[in-house]
Amino acid sequence: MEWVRAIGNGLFRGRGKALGTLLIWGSGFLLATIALNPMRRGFHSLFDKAPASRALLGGGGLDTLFDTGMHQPAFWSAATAMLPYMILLAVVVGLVLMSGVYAQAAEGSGSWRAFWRGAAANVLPFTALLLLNLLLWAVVGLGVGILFAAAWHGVRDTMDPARPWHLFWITLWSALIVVNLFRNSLGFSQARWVLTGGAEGVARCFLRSVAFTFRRFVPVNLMTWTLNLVRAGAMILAVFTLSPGYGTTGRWLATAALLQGGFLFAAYLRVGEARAQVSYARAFLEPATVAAAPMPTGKDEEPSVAAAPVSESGGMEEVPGA
Amino acid sequence: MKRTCLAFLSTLLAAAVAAQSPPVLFSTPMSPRDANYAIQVTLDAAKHGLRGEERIRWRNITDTPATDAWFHLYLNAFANDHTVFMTESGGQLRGDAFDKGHWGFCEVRSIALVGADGTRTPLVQLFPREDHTVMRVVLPAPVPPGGDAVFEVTFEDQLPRVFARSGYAGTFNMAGQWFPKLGVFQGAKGWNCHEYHANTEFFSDFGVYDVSITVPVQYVVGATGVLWKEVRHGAEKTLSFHAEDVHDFAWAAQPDFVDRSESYMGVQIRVLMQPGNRASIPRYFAAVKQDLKDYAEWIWKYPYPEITVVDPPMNGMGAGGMEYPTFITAGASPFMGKRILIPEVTVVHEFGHQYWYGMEADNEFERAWLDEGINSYYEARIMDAWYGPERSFVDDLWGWNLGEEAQERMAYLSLPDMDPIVLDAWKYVSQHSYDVITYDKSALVLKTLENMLGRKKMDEVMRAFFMQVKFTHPDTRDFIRIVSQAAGQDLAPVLEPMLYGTGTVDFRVAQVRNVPRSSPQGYDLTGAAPVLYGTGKKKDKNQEHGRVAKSPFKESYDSTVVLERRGSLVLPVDVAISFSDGTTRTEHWNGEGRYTAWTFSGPKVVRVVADPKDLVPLDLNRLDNAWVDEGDGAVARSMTTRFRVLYQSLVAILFNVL
Repeated sequence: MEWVRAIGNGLFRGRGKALGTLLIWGSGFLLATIALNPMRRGFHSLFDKAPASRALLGGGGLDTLFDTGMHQPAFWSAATAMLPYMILLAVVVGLVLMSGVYAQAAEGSGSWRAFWRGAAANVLPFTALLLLNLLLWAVVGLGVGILFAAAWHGVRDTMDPARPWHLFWITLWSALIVVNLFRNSLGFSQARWVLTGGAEGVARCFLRSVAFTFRRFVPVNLMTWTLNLVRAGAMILAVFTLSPGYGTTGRWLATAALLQGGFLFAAYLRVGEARAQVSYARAFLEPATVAAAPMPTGKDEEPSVAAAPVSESGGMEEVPGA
Repeated sequence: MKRTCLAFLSTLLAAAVAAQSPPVLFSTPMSPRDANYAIQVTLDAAKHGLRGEERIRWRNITDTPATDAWFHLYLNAFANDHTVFMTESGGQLRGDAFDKGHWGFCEVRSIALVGADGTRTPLVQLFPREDHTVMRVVLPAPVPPGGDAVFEVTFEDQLPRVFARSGYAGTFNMAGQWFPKLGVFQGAKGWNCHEYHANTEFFSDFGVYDVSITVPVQYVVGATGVLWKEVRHGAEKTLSFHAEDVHDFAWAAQPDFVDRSESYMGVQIRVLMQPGNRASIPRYFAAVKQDLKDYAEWIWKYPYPEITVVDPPMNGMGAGGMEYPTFITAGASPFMGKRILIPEVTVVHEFGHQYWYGMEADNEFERAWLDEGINSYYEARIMDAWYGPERSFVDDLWGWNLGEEAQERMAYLSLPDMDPIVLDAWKYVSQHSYDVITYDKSALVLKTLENMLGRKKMDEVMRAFFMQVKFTHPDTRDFIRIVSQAAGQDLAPVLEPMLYGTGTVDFRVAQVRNVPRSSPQGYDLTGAAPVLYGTGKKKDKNQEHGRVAKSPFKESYDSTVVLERRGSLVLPVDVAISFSDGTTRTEHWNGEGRYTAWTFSGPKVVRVVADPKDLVPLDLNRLDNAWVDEGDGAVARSMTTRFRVLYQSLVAILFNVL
């Protein structure tokens, strides 16, 4: 059950979790704030002179929003002006931050310096790994999409009224699996990169990581889906606890605080997932392959390579050139 | 009372079965019963075909002899892509696409006139319209006023894949508009028998229906009327249904319907549900019960003993959301959470048609607003009474609510003025215009009327209209006449522009001006001794003339408020004007003229709201109805928080996949 141990290592052990978590949450907060600032100003001139818009405070007001969209074209530009820039910036920032998080996980260090050193060193190869993974999984996604488009066309002729329903679930889960495979493949290639110190080169690292995620398909997916479930549970909890209205400052503050708590937890899970992937990948790499990074010691650190279970017969399968 | 009714119905049905004759549901006919049908039909489950025979007894209730008879063959609308329906719709209806691999038709194999002595005179089929959805036969002798004609017809149907209310999807079969059916004879005006248009629904006379349906034994069947006999013969069974004082008959069959029944207020509610939608069964029952209760209170107690609700499968949604006498189709989906009330709204709406279409049988081809519009108005009222007006369509979906009236207004805003409400359904510029105007704008017109009359008077007016026109074919003029009588005032000047015109209205606060009154300077001679008022500044030349007094005047303004009415629809409106001293006064404008203005002297005007109680739902833009001196930023702040959820979630997702 190395995957369980890896989740435990990722979420609860080792130094540096707080730094990564705070940086990820803080960056998200900052990026959204930068993007939302012109929107807030735009909304102020749109809504605050029109008492009818106060319906938006009480948890209602979809029709007011519709009115606004119909009669105030400025609403749409105010609401979306910064969105593309925010997305672009988020991709860049995300790559930098995740480079730091993975590097820190591999080094076992919690220092600010180690984080940024790793981020600087890994951001370009991580970008290359992202592009390779996108290319691969876009092709797979397209293929799966074509298959399902054909299946949906075929289901029109079904004699069984339940079949569209079944097909919907199959489609949904297939899409989720493809997305998850992409995430696994990318995550483990990033983990492998930091563990090997980039000794293999980007292309080989990518190919071996894809192979790894398929060879260890079940535990790798169990690991990711466990974290996904926690994530989904937290999201559902947050959505159902959201304040139904924003009419008072207290409610607004409570809602905003709950939201930020949720995003902080999501950031913590993301860091935990990256560290779990590093921990799991390390368990199946030959010691010589692992870069000469200081190995974690003590009971709250990741297990050493020697801790890899003997029962994992494929334990040495990842030896480069073997 | 409820138990007594059900016991009576059970006894009635038991007696009928024992006597091998259909039960008598109403000892006194509620309608003219001038078009009566006895039909035997067999479903070919593999081919989705119907083979049937019908005997139509028609009575001429006009004062004009009938020399011919016109029939609807609605399923022929789906025979090819050149029919009126297919040409107008382009094979698309309300987001549902026709499958050109599975056409449908209704072919009359034979038609004969049965004489009083039983002789049969074959009649020649003529097709006078643009397609074969209308058939005409010339009668060998005119049917005099008060006279009868009996037609025997054999026919064969092919159901299309579900589209525009009828057809099959898998093992689900929906037989709507499936049998050759008489048009409506209107005396000197002849037969009212239009082709099946893309936007139109139906129009027919009342009668008694006795329909026997033969299906494979494993099929569950729901239909108009009451089931009074079931006979098995080999691998098939024949179910006999009986309905009185109705003007159509529809049925649905599927082997694995989940069949549930409950009784409420003396009515047997039967729900035939898709297996995957079991969870929504209580939602359907609750909606029908709400309807039965509210309609009994507001209009008239539902007179029929049964109502059947059919849930179509996901790939047969084209058959959903449709009304037939004592039989409706709804639409649920496991994807639909409980907070989006579409299943409830659909059932409430379709049940409402039992009144507005079922009993108030307007001509849906020509004046569809009389059923769709009035029914949409009541749909909103019932849902509002049930869930509250703020959340009767979307009930707290992640902090968002939407009321029925607001939802209707949103639809209305999307195309408010391309067509008038009173218009032949096929003449609308588009399906969208037909939907928006006939359903939503019409409902908002009635809501406006309610706001003018008050809820109590509106209830009296609408009840009077229903009671006077039930089991007849009313027109818009009947509506205006009856509601005016009941309201005790001539409502034509208000209703006619809204019903016959395309005018709209938009109230706008065009101008608010606060001009500060300056304090007087110089000598005030009104007192015992002159008092010198200065400028109030440090360097005041007046000080050279002696002691300068401080002006006793309080801050004061000359204020002007201008309210503009855009659009040609003249409607009265109230305006609430608030002042800096905390007072508010309400002014009334009858809406005549392009604008009106009020002037005030005294405290500053800080807030102006036209139509503060939202009594003019037809107002095109409510955001310009008001003006405030200074906003507190709360709306912008809360909206930004909502968008923050989206934006920050997007960033979090990106960080998760990188």
